Amino acid sequence: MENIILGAMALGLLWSVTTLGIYITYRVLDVADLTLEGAIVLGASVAAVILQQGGSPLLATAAAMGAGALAGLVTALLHVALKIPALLAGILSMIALYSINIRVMLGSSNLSLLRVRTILSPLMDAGCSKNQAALVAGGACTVTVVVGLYWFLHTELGCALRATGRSPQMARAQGINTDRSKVLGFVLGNALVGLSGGLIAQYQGFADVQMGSGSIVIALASLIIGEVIFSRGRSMWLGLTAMALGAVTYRMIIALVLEAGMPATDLKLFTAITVAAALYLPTAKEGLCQALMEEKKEEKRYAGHQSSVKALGRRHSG
Amino acid sequence: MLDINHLSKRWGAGTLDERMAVRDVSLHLDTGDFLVVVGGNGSGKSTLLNLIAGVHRADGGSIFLDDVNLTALPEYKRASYIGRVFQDPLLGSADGMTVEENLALAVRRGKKRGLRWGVTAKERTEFREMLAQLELGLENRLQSKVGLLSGGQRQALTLLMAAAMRPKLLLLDEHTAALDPKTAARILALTKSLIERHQLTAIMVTHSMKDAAALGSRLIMMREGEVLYSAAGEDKRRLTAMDLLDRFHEEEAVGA
Repeated sequence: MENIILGAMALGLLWSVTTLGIYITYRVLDVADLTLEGAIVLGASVAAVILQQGGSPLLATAAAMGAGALAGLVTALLHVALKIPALLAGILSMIALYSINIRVMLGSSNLSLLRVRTILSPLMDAGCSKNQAALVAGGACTVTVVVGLYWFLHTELGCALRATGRSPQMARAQGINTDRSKVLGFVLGNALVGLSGGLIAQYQGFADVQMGSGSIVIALASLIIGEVIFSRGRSMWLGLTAMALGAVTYRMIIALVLEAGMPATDLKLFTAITVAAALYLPTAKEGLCQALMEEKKEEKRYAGHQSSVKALGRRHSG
Repeated sequence: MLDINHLSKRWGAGTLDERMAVRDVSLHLDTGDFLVVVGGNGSGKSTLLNLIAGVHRADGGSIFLDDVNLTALPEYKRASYIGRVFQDPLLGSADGMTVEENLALAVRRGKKRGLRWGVTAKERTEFREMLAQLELGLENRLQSKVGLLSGGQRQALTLLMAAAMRPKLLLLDEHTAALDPKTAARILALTKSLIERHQLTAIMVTHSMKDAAALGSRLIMMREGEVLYSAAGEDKRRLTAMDLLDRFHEEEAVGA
């Protein structure tokens, strides 16, 4: 059991980098970017192929990040230069990446990293278990990314990016090149997704062309769980940290329901229902508030109506 | 200062719904002019403003601001010279960002944005002074998210963002139309004082004949994309809301 929880936490931390990536596109830039499904596999396959060819783990991880950035750039250009709607641009990239990923893995759909040294190897040499090593590496990576994003989103460029997502019209009126901001957002978000994919491959010991399937929903589930439970849109520190906590919580929930006997094949259904429910939650809350407000307004209107009838009566008699 | 020559814009070119939104409009403003634009719905007054701001590209004609040819410049580049306030108070500021972050965005209009901090300590002090002049208590809410402010407060903030950086041209697109009468009056007073204090050249589109009569040094009335009537100097000063309303109905009758 302890091992299961440790494993879930480790995987959660590695996935939290992806969640932070989707935070950039989905929350900051306000687009649903499906490039993620392909970019996470691209990161994994680029890292795997470099490691198999004897490249250093650090190089492999950095290349995974760079490859993700490139995937984001393609989507951004489809969207900004060719004016294809963002959702569709992401889908096109995702589909194209399926073929590209198999090419990257030299024609195979799966690469094993079993007898290859990875970024976790030095920690395991020092006596850590694989899960412990992944916790340390994933934790370090997540902290670095959270701090980095906090800094970046408060720079001039980061502020321009946030304004672009919030209100493109206002951003342009303030002299912000919104097209360039969007490109930056797509590139940054998918760079993180690629990095995450590279780390996940090294932890799991393989890269598989199917490993990205459903990843957008997993990332969204983590993001929404993080927001609903931990942040509720308060400070940005909290918002970013909530992404990591959400990813870990999601993995814990999954580990627990699997442990409780849910068939693994039902996992995607379970995730989809979780996300749908979590997405509905704010609407449900608002609906409830609105219903209460309406009731109050109705009372007031009735009272107001009464007084205006009286006023009319006075005018007529006067 | 502002030179608009034979500007035109048509919507739905080549379709049955083709319509001239702005028809061969020429206009010249001197530095310090405050032009009020009135007209009915679909008269082209907002389109004219959006053509100047660069939201839409003109089909014909040219727009010069001093020596700068704005005609083909993208919207974000024109922002270096132009400050804007929109009809919708929610449009002028980014709601997920703080008051100071919004002001900082405005200060950087026309400047290169890099990896320096988005708001500096020095700016924070300046912003506090600027906000204090609004007398809305916003100087104590620098770190508040703009989404938490009222419509009137947001419009005042937008006005400050647009005007206080002393743009060459200030564009106000029915910027009090969505506010309650009391707030609208307050925003108008603020508009007037900011324009006077910074000696701005401004164009204000409005539906209110009362405001059109009370404000501005010049006025034009538009219908179907054309300038029907214009007044300046003493003529403008003498105009009352009633005069404008009469003239408006007169023109409508001719148009019908």
